[in-house]
Amino acid sequence: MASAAVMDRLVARSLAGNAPLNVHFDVTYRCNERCVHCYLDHADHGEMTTAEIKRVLAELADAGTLFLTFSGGEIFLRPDFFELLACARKLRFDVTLKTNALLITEERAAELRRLGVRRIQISLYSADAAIHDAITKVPGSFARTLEALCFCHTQGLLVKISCPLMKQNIAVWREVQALADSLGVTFIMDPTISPMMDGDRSTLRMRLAPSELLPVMQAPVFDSPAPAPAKDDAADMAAAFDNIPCSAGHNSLYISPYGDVYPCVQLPLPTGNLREKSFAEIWYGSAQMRRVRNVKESDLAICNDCAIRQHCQRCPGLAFMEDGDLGGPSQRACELAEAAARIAGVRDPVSGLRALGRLHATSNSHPAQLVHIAALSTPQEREAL
Amino acid sequence: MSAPQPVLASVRPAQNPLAAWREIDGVVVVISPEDSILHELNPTAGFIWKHATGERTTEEIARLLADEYEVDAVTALADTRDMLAELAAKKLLRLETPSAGEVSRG
Repeated sequence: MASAAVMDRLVARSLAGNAPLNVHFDVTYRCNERCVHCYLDHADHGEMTTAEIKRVLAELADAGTLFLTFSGGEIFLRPDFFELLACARKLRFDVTLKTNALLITEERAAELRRLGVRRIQISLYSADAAIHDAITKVPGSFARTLEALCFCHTQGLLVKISCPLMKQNIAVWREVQALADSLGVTFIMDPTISPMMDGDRSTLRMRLAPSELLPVMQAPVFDSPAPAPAKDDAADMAAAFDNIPCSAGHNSLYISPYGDVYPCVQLPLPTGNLREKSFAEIWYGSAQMRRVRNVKESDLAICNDCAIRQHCQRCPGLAFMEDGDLGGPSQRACELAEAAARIAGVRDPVSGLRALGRLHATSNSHPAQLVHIAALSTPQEREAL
Repeated sequence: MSAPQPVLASVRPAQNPLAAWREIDGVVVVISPEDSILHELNPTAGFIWKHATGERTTEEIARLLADEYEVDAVTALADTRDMLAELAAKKLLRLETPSAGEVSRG
């Protein structure tokens, strides 16, 4: 049986029944890097204990979670991390790790493999040590991360280099991709730069303008994003996603180191705390979780009237975080949709917010830049950027 | 790939501890640690999988299968052996070798 078709059916079933298939679990916000774009508060305000996390893992397994991502902060700063990992594997989760890898030694890489960790995503910002270290603010971090990455790859772990895109490294992403290719590991770019958790928006200074971002996003590396549903299961998959904005709160969720449950790491709408309630009580009983599930694409009044909707990749979390309305339009999405529409050949595209006279730039983009991009109509010209 | 080896009735099959799996909405899915393929098991295979804990023999699992699906013992044992051989060939299961005493009784 083709794995893609099986995955399509699994996702469709989990969405239909609100099974919590995917969980992103930050086990700490502490970190040994100080990345310039990071949105986290790195102080420890009372992380869940080993016993508390083990109890939560057992509850997640009972509820049907299969795909578990341990992230942070830096996960290996928890002295009990391997104990948590062993517990998760004993409960038969499919575990993915997100890490800067600074603390992964050859022995630890072997232990990850022995425990049955399948995938590890490692942040690398540049193939140039100076640029990478300037972003992490840790001298020598590039060399250490790269060495650890090789330890993991040698052990047979599926290694993916994650390269968040920002002002500091926009010019060098191709070198990171080339490095990934030369190492035989996969590579993704992430253009999302979020406000800090306390609402501080200073990180957005690092965010790329649509004029800078879109030519990159149209590069061949982005030609094959998520695999398309297998033919026989496309109908099930399409029906499952038919009227919901995304999987957040439907079959996926986020858990903070303090036990707070959110629909998504990018949707900071508290739905309950695992120190006060069981996972099942929160997942199935929270009014806020129901509120998220009740957001339907057909209810997005402004977006549904938007002339360039097909160019939009609105994220409900960013709409909530930056514009305050889970079901409303998003400044960032409108900006990007207009730029994408221009590149696709739409003359003078008008997003939903612009039509209402409410679009203002969320980054350093300005009309002159967008016009400049629109004039670069051939792939070669856009590539040259 | 070579043909699956016949499974003795006395063998105690055990899930590969490196495999990840869940039962979601009544369907068992298993991720192979060897090749990362996601397998969806049919109801019979899922039933056998859940009982392959290393504690029951193939024969005991077949008896449970016969009771669950109201099939005769011979058919249930044949189906169980075939399914276990297939899962073992994909390295999702380990077939624990029975002790000498168990073999002689099997």
